[in-house]
Amino acid sequence: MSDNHLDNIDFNAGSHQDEEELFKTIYLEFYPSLIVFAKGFLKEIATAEDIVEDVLLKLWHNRSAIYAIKNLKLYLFVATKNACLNHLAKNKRMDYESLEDLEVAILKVSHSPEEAFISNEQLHKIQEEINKLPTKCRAIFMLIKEEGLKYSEVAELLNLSVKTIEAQMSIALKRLSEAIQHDFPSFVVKKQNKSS
Amino acid sequence: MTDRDRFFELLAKKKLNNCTLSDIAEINRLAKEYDIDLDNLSQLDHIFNLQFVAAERPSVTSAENSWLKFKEKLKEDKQIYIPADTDDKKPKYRIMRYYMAASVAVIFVLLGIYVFVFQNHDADKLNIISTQYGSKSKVEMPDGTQIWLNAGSKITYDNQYGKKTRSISLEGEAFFDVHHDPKHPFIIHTKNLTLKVLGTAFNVRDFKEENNSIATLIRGSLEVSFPSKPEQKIILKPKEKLVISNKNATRKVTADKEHIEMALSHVNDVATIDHMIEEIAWTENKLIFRSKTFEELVLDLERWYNIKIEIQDEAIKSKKFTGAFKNETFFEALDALKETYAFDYKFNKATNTVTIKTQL
Repeated sequence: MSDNHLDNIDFNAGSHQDEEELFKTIYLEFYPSLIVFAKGFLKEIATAEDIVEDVLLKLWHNRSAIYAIKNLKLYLFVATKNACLNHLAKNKRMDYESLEDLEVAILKVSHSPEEAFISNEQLHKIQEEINKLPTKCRAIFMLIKEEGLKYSEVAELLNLSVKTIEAQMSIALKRLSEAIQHDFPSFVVKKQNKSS
Repeated sequence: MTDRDRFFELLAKKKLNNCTLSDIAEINRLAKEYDIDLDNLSQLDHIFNLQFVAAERPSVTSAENSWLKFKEKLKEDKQIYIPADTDDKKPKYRIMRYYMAASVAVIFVLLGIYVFVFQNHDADKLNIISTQYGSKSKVEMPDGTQIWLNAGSKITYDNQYGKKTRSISLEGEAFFDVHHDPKHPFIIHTKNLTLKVLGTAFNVRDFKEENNSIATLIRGSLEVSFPSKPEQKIILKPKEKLVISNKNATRKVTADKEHIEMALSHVNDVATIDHMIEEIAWTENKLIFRSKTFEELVLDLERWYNIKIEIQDEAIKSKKFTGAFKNETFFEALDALKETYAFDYKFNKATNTVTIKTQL
């Protein structure tokens, strides 16, 4: 995960070209994440692209003040959320601040070394379980696991309490373990004996 | 909630560092009651550590394309930007955006035409397709030829491909199903082999870290020659396999004394495992090996699973193994090999290396 290496960037030293190079780093770093996030609200890729570009354009206009933003990643996620909700409110498609309809993209296991330890069959099951999670739970799971946001950041972004985030993550991880429960046969056998 | 559900819920909580002391006590109680080895739950850790990615996440390339458009916008920005709070002017801003989009589109189309025209004159431009360790790939060439590329392999071809001949270079292993076209011979160059075909299916294996180069013909006919000795030619018939030893290749030899050590053999039906020809099983995601030395097999495993393997047990290097893996994880595969010849191994996660040791 990108560990806030893009915080405390100062645009006030350097030529226009330097500024553009610096902004490019920010753009490439956050664009894919923001698109995935915005699409959750808007469902249409073209609108999501428009909105994310607008958010980033506003950031460009305020670049001289970027150094004052403590947490750029969270700032951009919040700005994108607000822009999306504004857009939806204008088009009367959704009540402001409602997150229940947030649709989260299908998640798949990305290429990670852990894959070598898990059979294809298990991977498939895990992926299925994750995508069966309730949308809110999956959204939280994605923001934490994929985007590397902290619990407190997700809480702020989604207007939820940290406790709720913890509870939702616990549900997600429990589902993951359930996907491979049968790999603990002793547990299964004994339990059957007990219940019979 | 059943005990089992409760147990996994508690493990999830523990993973999130969210456990109270009484939770931990409960985990220990359940583990004891059901005879679960808590130290042996590494599988669960691996699953919790898996990385996920949104299926529709834009690629790096599309982010870069978007940036290029955005950068164009920045250039014009001073003239078109109207602050967002003046809502009544918004339509104008939108219309400007459409003009912008249109002009950007025109630029891209022109650029596309330019690149297309330019590339046609640029014969030296190389196309490279390569696979990392742990992954395979299938490519369809413009002429309809299909190429399966095994892990850790690379093919290269220039823009003359298909004009007079269809010529490509290969490092590593690939299976070819060549589209029949007598007017344009298909030629493959590897370090140790040159193969010329019209329309056929065959497998070529020439990894620089391996001692043998192997060509296996499945159907059609195949002409093999050697960069080091171009006048010598061998025609393969279907189900024939040519193995060239490159052990001498590193030694310095004078041109006239040089001879090529080779063996021609049949891919007979006895050699097939699971009704599949050993040499091309990898295209179906199977790793099949017949009496391969452990040292050779390790090279396969490294490519197949993208893991580094170090052998500290000299005796095992020359031991021969036969078997097939399909859906096994790396460690399941290692455990299966241990059944044939006992050894110990240690995995270092940080360096992604497995060390093979003599069993004590």
